[in-house]
Amino acid sequence: MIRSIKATAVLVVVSVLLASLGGGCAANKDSGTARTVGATPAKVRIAIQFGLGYAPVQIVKEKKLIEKYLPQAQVEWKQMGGEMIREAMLAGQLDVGFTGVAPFFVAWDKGADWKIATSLLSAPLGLQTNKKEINSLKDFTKEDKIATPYSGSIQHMLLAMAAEKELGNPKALDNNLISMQHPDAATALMSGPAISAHFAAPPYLFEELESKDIKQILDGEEAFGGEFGFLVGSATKSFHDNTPAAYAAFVMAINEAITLINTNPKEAAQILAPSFEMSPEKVEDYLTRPGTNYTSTPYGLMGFAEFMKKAGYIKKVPQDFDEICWENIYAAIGKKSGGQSPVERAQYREAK
Amino acid sequence: MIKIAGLLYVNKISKIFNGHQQPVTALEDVSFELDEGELFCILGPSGCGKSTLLRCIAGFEKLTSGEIMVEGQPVQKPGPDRTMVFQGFDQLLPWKTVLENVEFPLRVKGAGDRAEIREIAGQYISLVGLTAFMHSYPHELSGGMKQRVAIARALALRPRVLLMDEPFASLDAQTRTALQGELITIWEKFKITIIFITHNIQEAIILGSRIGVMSSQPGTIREIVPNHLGRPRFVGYPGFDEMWAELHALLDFNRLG
Amino acid sequence: MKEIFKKRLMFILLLTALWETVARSGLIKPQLFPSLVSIWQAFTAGMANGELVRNAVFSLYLIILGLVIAMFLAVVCSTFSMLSRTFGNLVDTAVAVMDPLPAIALLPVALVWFGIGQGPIIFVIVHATLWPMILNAVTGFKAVPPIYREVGENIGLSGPRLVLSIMAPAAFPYLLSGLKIGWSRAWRALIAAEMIFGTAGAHGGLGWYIYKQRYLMDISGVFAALIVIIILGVLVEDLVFGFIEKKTIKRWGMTS
Repeated sequence: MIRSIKATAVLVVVSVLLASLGGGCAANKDSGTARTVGATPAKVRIAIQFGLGYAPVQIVKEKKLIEKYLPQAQVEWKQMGGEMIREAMLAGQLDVGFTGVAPFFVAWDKGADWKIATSLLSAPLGLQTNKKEINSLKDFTKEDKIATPYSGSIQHMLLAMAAEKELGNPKALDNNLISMQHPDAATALMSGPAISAHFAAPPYLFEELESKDIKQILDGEEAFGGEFGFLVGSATKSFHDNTPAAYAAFVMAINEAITLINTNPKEAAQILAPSFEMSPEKVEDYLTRPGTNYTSTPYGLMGFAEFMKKAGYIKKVPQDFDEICWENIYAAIGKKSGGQSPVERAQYREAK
Repeated sequence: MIKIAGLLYVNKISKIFNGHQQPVTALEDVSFELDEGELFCILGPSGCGKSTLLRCIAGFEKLTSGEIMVEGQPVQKPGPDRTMVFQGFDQLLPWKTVLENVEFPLRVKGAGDRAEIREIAGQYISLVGLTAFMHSYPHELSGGMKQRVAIARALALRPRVLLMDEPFASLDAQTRTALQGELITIWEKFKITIIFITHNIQEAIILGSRIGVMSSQPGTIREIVPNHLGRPRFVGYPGFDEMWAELHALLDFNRLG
Repeated sequence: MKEIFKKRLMFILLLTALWETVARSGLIKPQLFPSLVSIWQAFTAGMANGELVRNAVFSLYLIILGLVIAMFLAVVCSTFSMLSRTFGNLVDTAVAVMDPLPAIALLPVALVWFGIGQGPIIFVIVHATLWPMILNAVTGFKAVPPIYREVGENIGLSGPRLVLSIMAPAAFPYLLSGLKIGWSRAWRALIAAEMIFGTAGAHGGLGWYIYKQRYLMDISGVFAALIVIIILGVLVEDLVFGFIEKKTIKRWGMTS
C-alpha cells in the first residue's frame, strides 16, 4: 500500500508539472513577440478564409498591405477551416480571426478576451427554399430540414429572430436545423429533396436564385429589422496590447482593401478572380450586387446581443461598446452626449 | 446378387490417404461380417488403422475400394444408424447440459414431441447412472462421467451399430473397469451391436465376443479370434491368460515384422 | 477484485483533485479547461432538460440498429464462407481489404449514396462492425474442434443446419469477442460521424450534442457529453457484455 502511495505521489507531481507546462504553453502562445515593442519583428497571424465576404482579407494578402504599413511585419497566413477560427484564437494560434457577428458574441459571452477590430461587410442573406408549398415560416413541417452552417451562426440567429416574430418562439424551428456548410447546402438545395431550405450567403445565395425552382422566402435584413454586419474581424488582447503597431497596420490594411473594392471593383475583381476560381467579370458582378456593403463599420451589434440574450443563447449583453470593440471601432461609432447618433442607433434593431 | 446375412458387411475395403510425401495405405483388403447383437472388438497397436476402419464404417472417410454395407445398404455418409462414441473427453457439446446433449440427436431425428424426447433422454441418462447430473454442463463433469454421457447420447438414437473408438483410453484403470462393466450390462440388456476399438488386450478380452486382431503397414485384419469365455469376465478367469497370450502373440508378430 | 477497485477509485479521486486544482489555478484558460464544478453543472443541466438523455438514447438506438444489421450480415457471410470455398475466399479478401479502412473515412461516400438522415450513419456503423465480426466468426468456425462437426454429421446434420446448430454455438466465444470489438468500433465511429455530419434528421446523438455545444463554445457541455459517452461505454462493456459472458461462455466453461 505504501509503495502505491509513493507511486501515486510521483504521478501527481509529474502531472502537475506537465499541466502547468501545457497551460504555460497555451498562455505563452498569445504573446507572439517580446513585450518590448520594436525589439523583434512583429508577427501577425491570420487565417485564410474563403468566400466573397472575406474579399478584403484576400486583397490584404495578395497585395501584402500589412507589410506596406509595417515593413518589418511577419505575416503568417494560416490555412484552417472556418469553424476552427474561434478555437484557434482561444488556443493562442491566431492574432486575428474573422467570424460572423453572432459567433463573435458566443465567444465573448464565454469570456474570450478578443474584441472587434473591424467589420468586413454587410451582405444580403436569405432563407431560400426549393419547395413550392413553402412560402413562409408557417409552412414548414416537422420533416423539413433547414440548413445553416452551425449552431449559433448568424444565419441561425436571423432565422430565430424571424421565428420569434412569425411563430412566437425563437426556437420554434430549432429541431428542423441541419448543419451544413454553404457549398454542400447549396448543392443539396439545388439537387434534391434532402433539405427543404438553406439560409444562404453570397455567392451561394445568388447561385441558388438562378434556379427557377428556388425562391427566397425570408430576407436577412427583414428578419433583423435593418442593416447588420455580416462578418467581423476580431483581434486578441495580447496582439492588440503587445504589438500596437502591428494592430494598427492590420486595421489600415483592411481599410485600404475595403476602399479598393468600393472605388475600383474592377481591379479588386482582377486580384480576387484566381483565388475564387471565377472569371473577373463574375467576381465584379458579385462584389457589386445590391445589398452588398463592404465597410469597416459594424452594424447591428447590439441588436444581435440583445436578441441572443433574450432567446437564451448568451448570458450577458455589453453595457458599453468598449467591451466588444477596440479603439478604432469605438471611435467610428462614437458616443454622442445627450442622445444617440445615427451610427449608434444603427447598432440596434429597428423598432417595429 | 450376394445375399448378405449379417448386419454389417465389410468387403475387401482399402483406404489410401494422399499424404504430403507419398500416398499412405492405411487399410488394405479388410473384410469381416457382423451379426446383430455382437460385441466385436478390434484390437491393434497404435497407428494400425483401426480408427480409420471405424471411421470408414461411420462414413467419415470415403473408401478407396471395396464396400461396406449395413443391412444391405451401402455406407456413403455418416448417419444416425451408426452412432459413434469418440475418443477423448471433448465430444459433448459444451453449451448444452447433459440432458440437452442427449436430447439433441433425438430432436434432430424428430423422435417425438418435447415431452417424449425428454423422457427417452432421461431413461438413457439414468441408464448410465447420471440422473443427478442431468442439468450440469460438461465442463463440470469428470472424464468418466463425460464418457458415460457420450454413451447415453450414442445409444439414445438406437443405432443399428454402436461404434466406439477407444472411448476408455484416457481414463484411469478403476474408472475404466467400471465403465467396461456398465457397457456390458447395457449391451446385454439391449442386445445392441457394438464395434469397440482398443489397443488394450485385457479390455478386448473382457468385452469382445469376437476379437479382430489388426496388423499395421498396411492395416488389415490379421485374424478374428472368437471369445468363448463366460461372462462376467475378469483377470484370472479360467482361460483368460491363454487368450491373452494368444492375442499377444498375434500382436507381437506385427512388432517384429 | 476489491484491490483493483480500490486502486482505481483512488486513482480517479486523485485525478479529480488534480483537475480541479489546475482548472482553478488559472494556468489554463477556462474556455479550454473548465472546472469540474462547471462540468457538473453542464451535466445536470443537460440531464434536467432531457437533452443529454435524448441524445444518448438516440445514439444507442443508432448503434443497436447498426449492430443488429451487421450481426445478421456477419452470420450470413460466415456461414456461406464455411459452406463454399469460393465464397470463403471472396469473404477473406473482402475482410482484408475493408477492415483497415476506418469507418469514418467512408462518411463522405455514405453521404453521397444515402443522402441525409440515418442512412449514412447506419452505413458507417455497419462497416465498422461487419469486418471484425466476420473475421472473428470465420476464425471461430475454423477453430471449432472437428469432433463437434463429426458429432453433428453422425446424428444426421448437414449444411446450414449443421452450421447453425453446432458450429455457431461452438464458435460463440469468438462471435462474442467479435461483437465486443464491433461495439467498441461502432461507438467510436458513431460519435465521430455524428460530430462531422451534424445531425441525422430531427434528432441527433451524443456526437451531435458535442458538435452543437462546441459551436456554442460550451466546453463544459462538451466534457459533460464525454462523461456520458464514457459512462455508457463502461456500462455496456462491464455490465452488458459481462452479463452475457456470465450467462454463456462462463457458464459453459468455454472461456479461453
